[in-house]
Amino acid sequence: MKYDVVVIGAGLAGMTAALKSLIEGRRVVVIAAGENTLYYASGSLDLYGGKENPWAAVKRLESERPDHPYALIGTALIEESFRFLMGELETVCPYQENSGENVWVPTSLGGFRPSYLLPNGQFPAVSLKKKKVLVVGFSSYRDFNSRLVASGMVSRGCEARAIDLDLHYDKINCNSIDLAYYFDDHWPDLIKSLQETAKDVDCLAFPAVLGLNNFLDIHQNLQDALGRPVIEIPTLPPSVPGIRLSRAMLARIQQQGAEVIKGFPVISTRVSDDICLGVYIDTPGHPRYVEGDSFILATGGILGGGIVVSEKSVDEKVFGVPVEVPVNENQEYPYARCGLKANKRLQPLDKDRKVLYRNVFCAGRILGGYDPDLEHDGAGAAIATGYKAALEAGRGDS
Amino acid sequence: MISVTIKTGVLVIGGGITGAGILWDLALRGIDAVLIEQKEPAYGATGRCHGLLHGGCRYLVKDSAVAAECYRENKILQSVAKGAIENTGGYFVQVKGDDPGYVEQWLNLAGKTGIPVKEIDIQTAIKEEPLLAVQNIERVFTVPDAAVDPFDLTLMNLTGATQRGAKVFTNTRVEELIITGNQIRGAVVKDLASGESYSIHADIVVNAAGAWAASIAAKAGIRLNMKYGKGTLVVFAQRLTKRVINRLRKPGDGDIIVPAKSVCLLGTTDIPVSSPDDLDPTAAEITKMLNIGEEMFDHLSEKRILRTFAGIRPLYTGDNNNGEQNREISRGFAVINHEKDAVDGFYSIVGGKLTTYRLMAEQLVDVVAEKLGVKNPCQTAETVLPQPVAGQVKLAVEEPMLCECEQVTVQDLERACELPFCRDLHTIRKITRLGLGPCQGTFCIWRAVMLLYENQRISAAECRQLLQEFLAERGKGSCFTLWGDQLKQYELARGIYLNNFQLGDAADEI
Amino acid sequence: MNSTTELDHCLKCSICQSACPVITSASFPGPKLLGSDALRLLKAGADAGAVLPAVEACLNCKRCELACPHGVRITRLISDVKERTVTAKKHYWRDLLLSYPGFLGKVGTIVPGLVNFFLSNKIGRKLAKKVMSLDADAVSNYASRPLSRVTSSLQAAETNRKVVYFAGCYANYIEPEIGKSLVELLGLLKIGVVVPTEHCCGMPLLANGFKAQAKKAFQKNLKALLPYLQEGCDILCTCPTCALALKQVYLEELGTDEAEVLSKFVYDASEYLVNYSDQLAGLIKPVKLHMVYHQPCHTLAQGVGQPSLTLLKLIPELKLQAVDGCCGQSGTYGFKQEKKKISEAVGKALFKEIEQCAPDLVSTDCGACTMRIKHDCHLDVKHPLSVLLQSIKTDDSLPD
Ligand SMILES: Cc1cc2nc3c(=O)[nH]c(=O)nc-3n(C[C@H](O)[C@H](O)[C@H](O)COP(=O)(O)OP(=O)(O)OC[C@H]3O[C@@H](n4cnc5c(N)ncnc54)[C@H](O)[C@@H]3O)c2cc1C
Ligand SMILES: Cc1cc2nc3c(=O)[nH]c(=O)nc-3n(C[C@H](O)[C@H](O)[C@H](O)COP(=O)(O)OP(=O)(O)OC[C@H]3O[C@@H](n4cnc5c(N)ncnc54)[C@H](O)[C@@H]3O)c2cc1C
Ligand code: SF4
Ligand code: SF4
Repeated sequence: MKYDVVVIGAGLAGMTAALKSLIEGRRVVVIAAGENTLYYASGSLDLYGGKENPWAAVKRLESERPDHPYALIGTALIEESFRFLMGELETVCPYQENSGENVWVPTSLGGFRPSYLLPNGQFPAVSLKKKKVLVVGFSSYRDFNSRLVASGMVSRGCEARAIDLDLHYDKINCNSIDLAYYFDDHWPDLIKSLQETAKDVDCLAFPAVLGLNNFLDIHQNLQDALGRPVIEIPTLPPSVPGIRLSRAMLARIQQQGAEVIKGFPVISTRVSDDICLGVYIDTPGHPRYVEGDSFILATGGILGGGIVVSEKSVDEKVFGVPVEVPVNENQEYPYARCGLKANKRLQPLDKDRKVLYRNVFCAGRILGGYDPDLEHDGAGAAIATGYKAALEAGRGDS
Repeated sequence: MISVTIKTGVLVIGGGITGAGILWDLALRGIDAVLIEQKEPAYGATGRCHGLLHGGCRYLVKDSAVAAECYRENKILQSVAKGAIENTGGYFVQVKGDDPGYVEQWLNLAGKTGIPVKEIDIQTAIKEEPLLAVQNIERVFTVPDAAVDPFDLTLMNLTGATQRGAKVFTNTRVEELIITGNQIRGAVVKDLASGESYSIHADIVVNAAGAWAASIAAKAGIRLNMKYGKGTLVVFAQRLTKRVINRLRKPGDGDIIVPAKSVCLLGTTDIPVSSPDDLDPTAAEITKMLNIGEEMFDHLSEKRILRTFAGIRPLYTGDNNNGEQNREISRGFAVINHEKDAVDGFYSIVGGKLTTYRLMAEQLVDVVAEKLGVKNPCQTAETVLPQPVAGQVKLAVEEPMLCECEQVTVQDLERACELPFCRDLHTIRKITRLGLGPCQGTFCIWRAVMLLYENQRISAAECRQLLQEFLAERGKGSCFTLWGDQLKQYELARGIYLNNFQLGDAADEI
Repeated sequence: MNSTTELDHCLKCSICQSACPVITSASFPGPKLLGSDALRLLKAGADAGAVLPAVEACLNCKRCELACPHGVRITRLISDVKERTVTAKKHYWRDLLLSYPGFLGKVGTIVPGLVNFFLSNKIGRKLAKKVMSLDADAVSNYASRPLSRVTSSLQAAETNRKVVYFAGCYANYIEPEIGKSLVELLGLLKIGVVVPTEHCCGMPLLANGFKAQAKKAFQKNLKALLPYLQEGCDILCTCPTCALALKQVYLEELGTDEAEVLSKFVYDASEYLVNYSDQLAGLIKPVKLHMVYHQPCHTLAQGVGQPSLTLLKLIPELKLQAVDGCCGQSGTYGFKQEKKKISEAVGKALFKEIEQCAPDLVSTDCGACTMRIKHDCHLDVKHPLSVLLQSIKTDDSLPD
């Protein structure tokens, strides 16, 4: 079977690329070894940094950090990619922005982290300042401490209180996923338990576990019934908001007609000079061969599986693109900014800065030059480069 | 400014296995005692050792008296310290190219010493221990080695002693020794958590500070001649062997694997260093060990490494001026009565092994008891030590759980917190094994911190600080083995704590 | 790669948990705990009893494995854990008996009246419930003539090439029509078929923890198939579990060169036939029916995409809807009294989805799914190849 676009990796970058390609009318296949880094991330999508206006920061990067993925894409296209994704998600997993500024979203540690695009459950954090907040925990859920979160909010000028609900839930050890599935069915209990207490506060904050399948309705219904904004605070992974986003995107991709092969990595390629003809997938028995006109490499960074570090070398295993490990002033973590080098079309470059394959385009965390954990630009880079890769894949290898 | 004063019979300096064993022995003989440890129990060589309860075979050729001593102590500990020991048994393996002459000499001495050694056929050995590199193995012998958990063993001694009235102060450092005339009177110590200093008055002071013994002696103006050898160990993510496996040749680097509950340790090296605080392994050491390990074990360097660490072996080189006066009780260790240095009531104990700690304690306390006029004989060879908190590897999926890798339950943590000398997360981790499995605390440290906060043992600020320390320490423990699965694990932890929980910078104000 | 290496890859991230259909059951700690965590600790001497009832609740659906981004073959680890707990099983003998569907099948086909009578009779059902802890309502009827007796008379005369059909217990003993359909379809394509003497693929044994016995079954089949492999024949399976076993599990568990050769020659029947879509399309006639296609977990786990759906799409005028999810049957799991609740909870969402489609007919590749969907949705369920053949053979819609 031959496809217009073969997307390797189903993370935020790969799925953005697949969606854009599908909307442009291409025949798309998405191949992924497994789930992605969104399952760990907070579910809010970062653009850049903290206090500085993120768009101003992005502009600054364009000139100051030519290796940063944003510098390859340019502000206008980054904005376009964000609008595109928000549009695609509008009905299935809506995201909102706060007039071009970062929002400080509460964390489970009782602090706040900056982010840019927020899902419904996190958006009310925009106007948290000076509010009376009720932080709701669940006594059997040991990953979230409502008192700790409330004390953090108090120290930042909110009037927060904590309460723990006893769930009639017989799982002794439950994590975010267990609870999310539980609340898919049992969310009405929350209204019953909180109706009275909620009257004295301006808003309620929960750990982000309020449903996986039913989450849009649950959030809406809770806000309606309690008459207050409801905030979901990201938790220790697995991240329920991240899973919702990932599943929503995948469903959208399938709905748009892409074939999705998940659970098996791409192990090798067939190439002719600087053109890739097809890839082999490591399926049981015989590898499966998939042909395509263009290929989007979005296999993630070290954690995602795109970059493999062994005792002796650092490799990108699918195409064998050389991986740069920039010498890092910050010695805390030598691989913080490691990744592939690409040109402005996101084609991978070899050691001499020559294009390795003309019809391969790289997107997401596999690219080097940035450190999402400290810079808060992981999702933004994935969306922007995924979108750009789709545009370039559509233009072909010309 | 010295506020409180504590009075006791014997002040023991050092909460390693030697100090803990001494405290237990003193307590059993009814002698009032206090132990001071600068960090947490087993912070020194004890917590950084290989955990091999020697059956003696390793020392046969070098010193068969030491070998016999190990074998005897091994058997005693198996009966009194069951909770800390897994009687794994051991193999000695002759690898291609190893000197057959050594093997013959070794066998001969084993017979003479009475240590039970038996040759088994290679096929049986490989079936039992599939990690052995079949193509390289020449001969295999079974030996009476066992695995001991040094944390558990130390904690059991401390717990037993405190149950009998002894006192343990952790996170407390000896700053000065108090000496009037020729007589030791005690020490000035500092509580490192509160920063407060106070004095402890004692009739006798025992210096069991391991590699730091010289610096303690120096506080009395006494020079102890010591050399330091750094030994590095590699911890693998799972139990790769059922039993202890030794290379049958003149002891060298990287030639033993010791199982330690759910993990196992490859070691070790011996590199001269100048100070007992020189604790960093180097990448070259690790590579070298893995290469040597590969001669005996298949694909060893592909196995996931959780962390590496190093410990210091102190070597007492004797008293140059007056060697004869050292009361050398055994060739493996030395008990030094500093009367000879004109300080009465002050004793140092240096050298030895984990395996022989009980014997060391016995011989030291014999001297101390004689000095104090106490007639009660040593009882440590017969008295069973209390059970440890964690104990053997378990699966407890139906209990409220904090650490899933090591199955540490909420109750385990709470029990650990109740112990009088448990003052910090390090000690909790050593007592319970929380966070010592493959995820290296990525998930359970968070849960433990939440629980400690919930139980009001720590403040909100301490939550943040503990997590920061944890992440920094994680980075240190794996910085020389940052590859493969463990690197991915590190990146996951980094993402969770720096990205999701914004732990890194303070710029999280609104 | 052995399970030692597998263990090392697990980052304890619990992603796998999100994909597990059993996770909502209160007593199920999930794939990570039962797989990599438990095995690691069992290897270090932990007591296996603690995970016993929980590990038996795993459906072996492999959805966790497809979700895991770090390449952990979780079900393989779970099968090691099951092996270590097998002697402590509460229903040891029942599970062992159920793990030999071939044996049950043989008895059932030789004396079908007796077996069917036994299970359809009130006392018999009670006995089954009491003695065997079986949910007799769900146990299906055994066919009266096994496939091997049917197909031996069915080998196509004029052939271009020859393939081997590994029928598996379901097509052999319960629904021989599937096998007949495949043989006829291949006949139309001028491909000859051999049906060797085979034994149960062994997956039920493995799933129930009887690893040693399972490996014996693997060896037997391997021996029976080896001569055909030497001739270069491809091997086709209509049962997704058999296909997955021959492609992947034999190799994982035996690790031999023969198992590796075998794995390369095995195809899911639809995966194989998709290559002949053009030829088949020419033969197919329109069918005016509304049908739901359900992809079984073990087809998903082969990574072959949805070849059956592609084939069904060849049928003009067939209104097709695809549904996704696990049915909860998992071989004989759904028959066991103590698993009934979990099994039903797992299948609920799928059955609801199917019912909402209100189709005339359901199609799925897997025998266990077929039995379950028939039983719970009260709908007729056919193998995609049976549907395909019918569309070739009739002018109108399918008879019911
Ligand atoms: C713990 C954590 C928290 C984070 N939190 C946030 C946050 O709150 N906000 C934010 O904006 N960013 C966050 N980030 C960063 C951000 O999530 C990532 O940078 C981003 O999701 C990366 O997306 P990706 O698509 O490039 O890669 P990934 O999401 O890693 O996806 C890679 C995909 O490729 C597949 N794959 C890998 N190898 C192969 C192969 N050989 N063949 C086929 N498929 C393959 C994988 O299975 C996966 O599907 C966080 C990161 C971490 C680690
Ligand atoms: C790499 C390595 C591997 C080994 N493997 C084995 C083995 O497999 N089997 C075996 O039997 N033996 C082994 N040994 C030897 C064994 O570890 C030691 O003999 C034993 O642990 C020594 O215990 P200790 O209590 O004397 O010293 P330590 O454990 O070092 O204890 C000394 C304590 O004193 C404390 N201290 C120091 N200064 C002060 C102060 N000023 N105030 C308060 N406290 C202070 C320190 O913090 C420390 O906790 C090994 C040693 C090394 C280095
Ligand atoms: S098996 Fe895979 S998905 Fe499950 S916890 Fe381990 S690494 Fe994560
Ligand atoms: S095989 Fe299926 S039932 Fe078993 S643990 Fe994995 S996902 Fe759950």
